Amino acid sequence: MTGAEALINTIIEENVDTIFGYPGGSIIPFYDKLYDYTDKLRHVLVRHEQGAVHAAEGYARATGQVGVCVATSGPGATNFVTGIADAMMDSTPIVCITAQVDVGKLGTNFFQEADMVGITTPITKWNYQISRAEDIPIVMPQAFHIARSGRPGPVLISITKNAQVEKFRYRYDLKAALDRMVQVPRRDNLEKRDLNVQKAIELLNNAEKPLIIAGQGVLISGAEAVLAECANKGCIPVACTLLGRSAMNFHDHYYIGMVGMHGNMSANAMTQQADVILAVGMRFSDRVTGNPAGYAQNAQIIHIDIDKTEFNKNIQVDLTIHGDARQMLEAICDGLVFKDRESWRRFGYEQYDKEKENVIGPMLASKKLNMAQVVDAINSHYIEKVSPKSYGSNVVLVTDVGQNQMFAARYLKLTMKTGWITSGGLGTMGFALPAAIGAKCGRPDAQVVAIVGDGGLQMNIQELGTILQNNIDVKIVLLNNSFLGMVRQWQDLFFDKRFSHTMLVNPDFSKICEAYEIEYMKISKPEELEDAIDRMAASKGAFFLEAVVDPTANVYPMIPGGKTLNDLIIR
Amino acid sequence: MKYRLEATVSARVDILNRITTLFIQKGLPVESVNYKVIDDRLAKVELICSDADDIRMDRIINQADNMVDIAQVQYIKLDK
Ligand SMILES: Cc1ncc(C[n+]2csc(CCOP(=O)(O)OP(=O)(O)O)c2C)c(N)n1
Ligand SMILES: [Mg+2]
Repeated sequence: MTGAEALINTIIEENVDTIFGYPGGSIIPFYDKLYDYTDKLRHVLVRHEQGAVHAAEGYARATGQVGVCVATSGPGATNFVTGIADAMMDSTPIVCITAQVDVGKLGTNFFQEADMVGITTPITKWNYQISRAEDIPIVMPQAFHIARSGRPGPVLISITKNAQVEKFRYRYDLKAALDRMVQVPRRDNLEKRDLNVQKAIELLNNAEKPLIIAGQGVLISGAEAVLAECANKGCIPVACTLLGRSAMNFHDHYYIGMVGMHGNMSANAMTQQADVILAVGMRFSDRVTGNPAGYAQNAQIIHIDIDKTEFNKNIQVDLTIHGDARQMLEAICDGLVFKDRESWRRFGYEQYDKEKENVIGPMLASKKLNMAQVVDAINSHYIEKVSPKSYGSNVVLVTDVGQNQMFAARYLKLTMKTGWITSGGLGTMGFALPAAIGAKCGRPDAQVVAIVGDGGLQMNIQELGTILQNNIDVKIVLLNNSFLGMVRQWQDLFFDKRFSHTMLVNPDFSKICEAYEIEYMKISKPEELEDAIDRMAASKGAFFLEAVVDPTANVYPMIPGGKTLNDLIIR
Repeated sequence: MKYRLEATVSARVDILNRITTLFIQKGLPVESVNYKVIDDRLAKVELICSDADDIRMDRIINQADNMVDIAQVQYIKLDK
């Protein structure tokens, strides 16, 4: 068979059912063969290659499988770059296939030649250029294996045109392919690890004020249940990071909120007061720690991570445990003993009450419609009404970047069954719409809601075309403040209210929806919310809800850049 | 301080770029590089960096150890 056909077969071998892509000159041989495989492999034609990568990311994060996207050489391939960097930052397993010019023409500035291996080396977990068809069955299984194993991440495969058209004898042998990888399995020092697990148990059992901080590693390794068990067994409060927001049920008595720049007062204050912190599957990002010099100074910190390069990078810790989050939590859970920590937990509740009184309450009670109210209405109508039994399951919530994201992260009542997809590390505006499309393709049974800002929506608004052509049932909630809200907030607080180039003159979104044949509704008052969300939840097919919200409603609390968690401001 | 990094690596064309990038990203100057292909898949690299410290070298080793194209890697401190 030809290289192109082999490439398709290696993708099908990985149980991938949907790929996202956009054709062009050097990838035509692949698309030609794809025409014969439409019953086995669904291809979703996007409107811009960036949309394809984000869709692959959404697919991957909604399903836990590897997402796949395809583009032609040159401009098609370079349009992938932002999405690849996003996947690298957020440990999302995707395989990105980009075409390349004939091997004999490499380095000649041939039409649509771009050195994608060179360009993406710093932003991929691995990349490789296939220039002979016979390498396909060896390299592709490696690509998928690398993308999903250990700490997941993006892999880029550049495939020259000649390798797509060459004929060869195709044989798929997964084991032989993986055996050819040069990386020998690392022998971890298991004795030391066991010892550190025992030390961690001891620290936690002796602690007066212990705290667990859960990151996305908990979701990736499927450690949600054992996390909750640890909390219950040891009576230990749990906070989550932005990406780990769905690691624990919002209603769990031990859940105390989100950490970080716009986190909850309880989570941040408890970080500062704790005597022992167990950080699991998180990386002490600067958005989480604030000024590291003033971070958690009373705590002995235990850090569990699958990636040892994360240890002692931003924060010096006292104990490191290198391993899979679920396995390590299981080992720790075994040794935990219950200790009454009523006053420590009460401290957390008091902080929460303070936040409720000063921030959450006034926000939700505002006469002017704001983002918090819309997000809260999504909670009660979407999560609770839709699936009262399995509260929060079968819903995937995707956010964009900016105030809309922070309000969503702060006010959504996620459970560990709720899909939660947001762009954290890179903070990529334009992420939500295509990621929601990908999530819906990966989980057709789930209700997918994208929460977007007016700026971010317009960064990949062309993907409404993908929704139209492929009949994709995603609910889009536009939180329209006619501003680049998050930047405006910084200008408001730190730049003397000089709103330089953050006001947006927006199009009439109803007309855009009409053109794309998407059901549309607009609201601008809190009392219109309930009906609007009901109508959205009941709608068949895609739906676009535009909520015109108060542009002056900032996200609080906030820890200003460079400050410590103690310096949070609430208005 | 002066260090020698020794690695067994995949003999792919751009491997030297990948290894030197580890140093360049951290602003560490590379003094010399030695590269020898040993079979159809593997090569050996020796690299001298004269202006690093243990902490940064440990980080580089951890990062290199994570890299799919590196089979084995270690460093040796050349002076005190
Ligand atoms: C691609 C990209 N460009 C710029 C930024 C910087 N940025 C972060 S938030 C933000 C404003 C977002 O505005 P909007 O999408 O309307 O969301 P809002 O904050 O108003 O909810 C900007 C410009 C970014 N994160 N990503
Ligand atoms: Mg906005």
